[in-house]
Amino acid sequence: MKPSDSTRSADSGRYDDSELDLMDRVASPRFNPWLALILLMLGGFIYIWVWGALLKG
Amino acid sequence: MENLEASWWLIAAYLIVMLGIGILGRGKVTNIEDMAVAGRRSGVWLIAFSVAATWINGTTLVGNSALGRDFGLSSYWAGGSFLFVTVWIGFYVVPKLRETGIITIPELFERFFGPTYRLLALMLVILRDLGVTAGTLGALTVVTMALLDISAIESQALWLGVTVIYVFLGGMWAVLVTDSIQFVIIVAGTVGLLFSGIGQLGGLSELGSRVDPILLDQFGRAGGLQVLGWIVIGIAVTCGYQGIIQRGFAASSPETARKGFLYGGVLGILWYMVPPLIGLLGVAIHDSAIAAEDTFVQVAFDSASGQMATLIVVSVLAASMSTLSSTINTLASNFTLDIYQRFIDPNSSVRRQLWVYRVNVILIGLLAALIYYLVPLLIELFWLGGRIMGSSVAPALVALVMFPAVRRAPKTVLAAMILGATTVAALQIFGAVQEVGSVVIIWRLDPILVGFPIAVLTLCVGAWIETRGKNRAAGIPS
Repeated sequence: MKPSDSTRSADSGRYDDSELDLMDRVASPRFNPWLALILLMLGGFIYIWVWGALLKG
Repeated sequence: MENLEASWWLIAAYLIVMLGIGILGRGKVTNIEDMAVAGRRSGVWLIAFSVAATWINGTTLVGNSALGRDFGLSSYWAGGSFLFVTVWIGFYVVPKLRETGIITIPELFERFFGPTYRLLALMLVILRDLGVTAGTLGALTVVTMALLDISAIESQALWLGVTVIYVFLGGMWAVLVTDSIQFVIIVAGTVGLLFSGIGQLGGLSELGSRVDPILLDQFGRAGGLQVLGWIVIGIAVTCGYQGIIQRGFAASSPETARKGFLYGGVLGILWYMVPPLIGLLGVAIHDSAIAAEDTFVQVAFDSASGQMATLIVVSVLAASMSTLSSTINTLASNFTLDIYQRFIDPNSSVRRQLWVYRVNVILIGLLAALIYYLVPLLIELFWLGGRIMGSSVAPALVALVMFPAVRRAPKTVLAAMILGATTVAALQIFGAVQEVGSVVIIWRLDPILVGFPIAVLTLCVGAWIETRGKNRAAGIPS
């Protein structure tokens, strides 16, 4: 039996071809990651705008 | 400048608590995994507070307040961008990396492509993390010398000494617990200082009316291109920041890691407006009469007295020590796992590995002090290595997580890392500088705006070509 990702020791070397996608066992959110990143950054601009508005009175 | 009337008794109490946590943590460390990632059993809030505290340090307080004085609200991006990306990697990158069971980032590169890649990745992440460690130590030294009227040697012996001791004893567990306490102290001290300053001035709108309106703009004096540069640095550096990513490895489950990064990221996102506001306070009170890098300290002198002064001093200590402990622990894991255990003595006993790790903690502390004396810059020291790592290891790491084709394209990954790193290194030496500030360089075109896209483009095109060829050889239609 091949070692699973989480039980492999630190110095056991390279994955073979069948192990390259083991990390995909953990599912990512369905929401598009790049869109999520852009929306997060837009949130930053809104946050700055709010502070700008508060300071301008 | 006179020193603040801080209570040395309270400062001593803070240091004793930190040491006490280190002593408590000693019993929890039985192997390298305990030392580097707290046995992978930490809870949501320990991760969240630790993530937030690690992103705040003395350089943040001094450097970002200076940026706030010069560039106003737009300088928020010089720190805030890191926290937005922290939330993002918490959802899309960290849980998958955690699943691999790795402890260090270079380890992942060896898993996919072999030891050469591990060494290359190691060199690039160390370059960045040593810069952060030295920069943080430098900022801590400068601020505490001014606030407490002590010498550089006294300052480093006290703060670096205590930090090294608690990491030496308790490893990541001590780092997480001290980080959590330090985050509460940082928020109390800095937000208290801000409220005190704004109150003395007569309110937020009074503060706004006393500064140049351009400082309240989205892009301000820095300009859209520099703001974009700060955002790209945030994306690039965060995606390859081992000290932060290892917090996710310390979590008890992928879901715990996600929540920890989300909560910690949001706390940091909210907090990161504090330094620009302190910078604006400096402008409102002193106009241009003080040097940018003195803004934080001067505002502290203006607004703090009595126990508030002590709280500010302790919050500066807390901010820097939380980052120092994190980077020292991460670098010790690199030196021990990626060099000693991998290439020098793979069959060493657990007891020996632990001792090597602990000796490395001490050596890295000393090395950081040496680098600070040789290159006494603040934020730029962070970003010189950060840009190189962010244009090489970081895009390659995210591509490995997000795109299975890249995992099958070793030549592409090597080319992307080398091209990204060398482009940024060359531009940082020969690139056009718009302005050399007191804590940062303002570039005509930030080197990372060239290096990062080159690495990303190489990964996209190269992986397509490299895997297409393999598919064709295997008779699979592309």
